[in-house]
This record gives sequence, C-alpha cells and structure tokens, in this order.
Amino acid sequence: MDFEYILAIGVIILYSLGTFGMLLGTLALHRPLKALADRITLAGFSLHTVVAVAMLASNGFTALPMGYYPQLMAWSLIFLYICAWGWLRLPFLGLTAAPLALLLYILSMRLSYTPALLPEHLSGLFFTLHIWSLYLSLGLLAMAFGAGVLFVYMESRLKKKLPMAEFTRDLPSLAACDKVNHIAVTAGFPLYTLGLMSGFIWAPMAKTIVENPKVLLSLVVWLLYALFFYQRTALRYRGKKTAVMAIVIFGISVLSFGIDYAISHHSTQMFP
Amino acid sequence: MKKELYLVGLSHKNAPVEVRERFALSDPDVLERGILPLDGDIREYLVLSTCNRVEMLAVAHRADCTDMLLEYWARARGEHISSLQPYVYIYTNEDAVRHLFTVASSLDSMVLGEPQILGQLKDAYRAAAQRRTTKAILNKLLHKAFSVAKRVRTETAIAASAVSVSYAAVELARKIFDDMGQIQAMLIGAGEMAELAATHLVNAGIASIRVANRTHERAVQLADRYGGRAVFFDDLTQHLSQVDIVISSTGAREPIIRVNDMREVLRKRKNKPMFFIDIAVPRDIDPEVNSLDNIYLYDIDDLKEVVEENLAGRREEAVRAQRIVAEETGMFCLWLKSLNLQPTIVDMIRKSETIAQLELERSLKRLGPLPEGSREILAAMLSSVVKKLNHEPIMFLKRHIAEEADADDYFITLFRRIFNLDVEAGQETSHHKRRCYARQTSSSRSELS
Repeated sequence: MDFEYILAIGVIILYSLGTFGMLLGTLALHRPLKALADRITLAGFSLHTVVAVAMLASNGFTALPMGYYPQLMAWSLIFLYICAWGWLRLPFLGLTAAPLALLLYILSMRLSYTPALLPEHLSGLFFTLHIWSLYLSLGLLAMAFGAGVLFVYMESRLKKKLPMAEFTRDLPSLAACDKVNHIAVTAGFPLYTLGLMSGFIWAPMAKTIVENPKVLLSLVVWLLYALFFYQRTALRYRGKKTAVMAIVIFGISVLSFGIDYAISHHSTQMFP
Repeated sequence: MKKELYLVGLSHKNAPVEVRERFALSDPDVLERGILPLDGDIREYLVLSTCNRVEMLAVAHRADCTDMLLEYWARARGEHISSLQPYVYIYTNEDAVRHLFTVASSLDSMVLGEPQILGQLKDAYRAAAQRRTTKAILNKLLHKAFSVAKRVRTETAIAASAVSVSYAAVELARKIFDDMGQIQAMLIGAGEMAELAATHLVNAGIASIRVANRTHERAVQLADRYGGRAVFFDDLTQHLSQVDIVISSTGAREPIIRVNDMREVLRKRKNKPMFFIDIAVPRDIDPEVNSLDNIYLYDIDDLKEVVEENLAGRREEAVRAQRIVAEETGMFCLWLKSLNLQPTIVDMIRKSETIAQLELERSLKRLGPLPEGSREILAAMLSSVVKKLNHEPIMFLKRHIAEEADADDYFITLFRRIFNLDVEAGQETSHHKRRCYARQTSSSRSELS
C-alpha cells in the first residue's frame, strides 16, 4: 500500500466524519457537533489539497490518472463551500458539499490510477479553462441544488401552512437560499459556457458528439443553464421556479457525469 | 444544628388572581423594610413576587419554620394566616430545589417556556442580595437556578417557537426574509393584535414601517409611535410594491387587496417576496393571493394554528427539560448534604489539632531547651500528621453521604460517636486530667523503683 493511497483513505475518513457530523448535528440541532464536523471537513480539505498537489507534481498535467478528475471536482465543491461559509455565512451548504465531495472522492478511488495521457498541446490552457471552469460551475450548481431542495421544502410548508421539521430551526431563510441560487446562475453560467467552449475549441467536437452522449448532455445542460440565466437576469424570476430549475439542471449534469464515467473518460477516449 | 431549605408559595395553578393580588409581596415598601427578621432561626430568605406567583424561599434551623414564614407573609399583607394557608404549597430541601429550578426554567409558568420569569427571579435575587438576606446557600442555589434555566433553554427547544399570534408572525417573517434590517413593512388599519405584531417587527429591527388608516390622524399617531411614516389609505396599492411585509387589520367588509392587484405589484417588485399577515375578520386580503409565487399569506386562523403547534412542541420539550431539572436537583442536593457535614468536619479537625497541640506542649516541656527553629518544625510536622490522618475518614464520610440516599444522619452520628466529638469541653478536660494523672502516677512509680 503506497503512501498516496494511505493519504487518500485519510481524506475519505475525514470527509465521512465531516458528512455524518453535519447531518447528525443538523438533525439533532447540535451546534457543537456541527462546528466539529466543519473543522473535520476543513482538515479533510487540507489533506485533499496535499494529495492533489502531490499527484499533479508527480504526474504533470499530461499524465494525470482518471481518478484525478472526480477528486478535483470534490475539491472544487469543498472550496466553494468554504467560500460560501466565509463570504455569505451559509454553513448549511456543507450539507450538500460534504456528501457530494465524499461520493466523488470514493468514485475517484474506484477509477483506475493508470495515467490518462493527454497531448502536450492540450494540457496547459485546456486544463485551466476547460476543467476548472466546468468544475467550478458544476460546484456552484451543486450549491444551488442544495439551496433549491431546502427552498422547495420550506416554501411548500409555508404556502400550505404546515409545521416545519425541527431541524429547519437553524437553517437559513428562503431569501438566503434564493441568494445562493442567484450567485450560482450569474457566476456559474459564464463559467460553464467558458468550460464548454474551451472544450470544443481544443478538441475535435464532431467526433465526440456522436461517440460520447456526455457531450450531447452537456449541450442540453448548457441550453437549460442559458434559459435559467435568462429567466434569472432578464425576466427577474426568483423563488420556487428558479429553485426547481437548479435542481433539474444539476440532476441532468449528474446524469451526464455518470454516463461519462460509465462509458469511460471522454478525454482519454479521444486520445488513446 | 442542621440547616433546612424551605419554600412556601402560591401560584396561578392553585390560587385565583384575587388571592394572588391579596398576598402579593411586590410592594417596594414591604420589601424595603424586610418582612422577616434574620434571627437565629431564619438564616437567609428571598421573596419572588410576580403576577402569577408569590414565593418565599428560606434557609432555617427550625422545623416549624414554614408556619413562621406564613405568619410573617400574612402579617405583611395585613391578613390572617388562616386565609393564606388553603392556597399555599410547601416544599423542603430537595423538593424546594426542584421547584425553584422548575420555576426558573419556566416549566411552571402559565405560558410554558416564557422568558420573563427568569428575569423576575434575577430581580428578586438582586433585591434580596442588596438587603443582605441571602448568604452562602441561597447565593449558590440562585446562581445554580440561573444556570439550569440557561441549560434548559440551550439544550431543549422549550423557547424556540413563538406562542403568541403576533410573535408567530415575526418568526414566520424570519423564515422568509434574510436580513430584517432591510425589510419595509406596512400596517393597514389598527387593532391590538396588529399593533402588537408591528411592535414585534420594529423590535426585530426592520428598516422602516408605513401606516395606512382610513382615519389619517390615527395613521399619523401610530406612525409616530413606531417611528414610521403615515400614508394615505387611498394610495395603498402604490405603496404595496415598496413594502415586504403587510399587516392588515381593518374593519372592511370586502377584501381590500385582491389577487389581480398583487400580480401587478409583483411585477413592479421584480418578484421579490412578500409576506401578508391578515388579522382582520372578515379578511382584508383575498385568500387567492397566497396562490401567487413569492407571496405568503397568513390569516388569523393560520397564525393561531402555528401557535397551537408551537405550544404542543413546547410541551414535548418540557419532558426533556424536566430530566435536566431532575439531574441538576440531584447534584445540588449532594452539595446541600455536604453542608451538613461541615460542623462535624470542623469539630474533628479542631479536636485533632487541640490534642496535637497539647501533646506538643507536653513533649517540649520534657525535651527542655531546643535549637532555634525546632519548635516550629515539630509543630508543622504534627499539623501535617493530623491533616493526613483526618483525610481518609473525612473522605469516607463525604463519599458515603454522596452515594447513599438519606444516610447523612446515620453516618454523621456514627462519625461523631467514633471520634467522641459531642463530648463537652469540661468532660473532656476531666477525662484528659484523669489520663494525665494516671500517666504521672505510673512515671513517679517507675522513678521510685
């Protein structure tokens, strides 16, 4: 068992403890447990950063293993959660970020550690623009998904005048959830567009659309994201409609992500 | 003699308001001059008098202390004790502690979990401390009561939800809006409940409030009271697009806000959410308004239902709170019991030190002149030996009294007998003299031989 593997197991243990601590702390309204879970997740994030940097240093941009990409997405999620926590004071987003990061990390461990070779000319700018902008936009969409689920639940209870579950006592207001949705769409859509466009410019698009349904689904997501962006910014939609939209788009994104990894990684398929 | 804790009182549960009025002790004059003499029997006391309860808590030596407390209480109100006795409850020691913790935690209040009682208890304690009628036991007990109340509020949801219609509306507003400091509200019409809701909103820190009334002068009056601004009733619709919360309580026979008006208002507001609180009967706001996205409408029945659910929730939480009270009562009573030990421990240490001092003096006489500092060294050594010898028996006593319920009297008596702590000074002197005489006789015999 190599040292890198042991560190990765450490990240999974810390993310698991953080996730279950957050869930238990929220359900039991136990603030000290939630605070502890936040700290454990932060510790997991620090270790995760060390693992990611070490892997990048040893493999370089061109020979990263397939498992690196879901790991990177998990890292983006926790990074966005920390930003949301510090900037918007919305620690409840950890309920979305931590479990998703854990799942992605476990997925990354299941994927092959064999390096997926990329041509030299596609590695630098391609990596930065395509991967980072896509992962950050998907991370934002995940946050909007978490906030959207909470919004839909609380909104329906308020509309129907039904009592809310006890655990919602410490959760934010509808307006706070809507704010997450607004940020996710206004910052997330340009990032997603950038990620998608950079992918099309640097890769042979026609072939991949036919061979990989993930690309087709990505286009569907982009179209829905564009509609979402238009509704939010031009039509001034807010509230339940936009919350549902975020949930749907995130669902399709997860589906496309799943299809991508079920078939194989699209980048490596293009460059055997 | 053993100190006992007594609590006598009457509350909304067993005394009607007329009785509570007659026996209230909130009159500053009565409290100022003190209603009880701190003589040899009553060592400490505190009076708690609110609209729902009057209670006297005392630490005393006498077993019939409660009669004395009631006598003073009735006399302070110009009444006879017989008119007070049928309504009072009496608790001693553990029961008194439990009751005080229950009261402080608002588990005995008319509105379960209401926060005022803790403030009233703090005021009562402050007043008693100023009059110097509380000492070691009540000081510790009251501070413990405050911490138990805090623990109950922190660890249970006893006070988490609103139990008044007006406050429930504010709690709902907090679920909808993020920052109350940026919220604009409007009060339409007037009425006790609507005004109370407006007061709660202002207290919650909303940015501003507008008041609309068919009688504009009344609107101006109310606006002045809340530091808001009065608007003309006819301009209502144009103001709606600028406010986030609307409290309506007019006497109109037909709805004054209709669903079609609100569609236009929402468009102007760019779909920003709105919260309508309709306290009027018949209702001022068309119920269909609630079907629009980003609009939340609660009428008086909806709010009452929220309050009922919250009250039921508080009753469930009260069961958890009682467990905390029971746990804390047990812990405090252990401390209380350990206080009964203090005289025995003091007697034992004093007796040991006296014996050690006598033996030291005797030995020093026999040793004759000693180098400088030797006397102090011997005294310190002897004191250390006495402390070490006493440590184990004292720990034994403390441990058994803590572990075995109602065993304090038995162990204290046993301990005092074993160490002969109840023997009077004269008797001990003569006993000691006899022993000294016997020792001297035997030593002179040995000299002669």
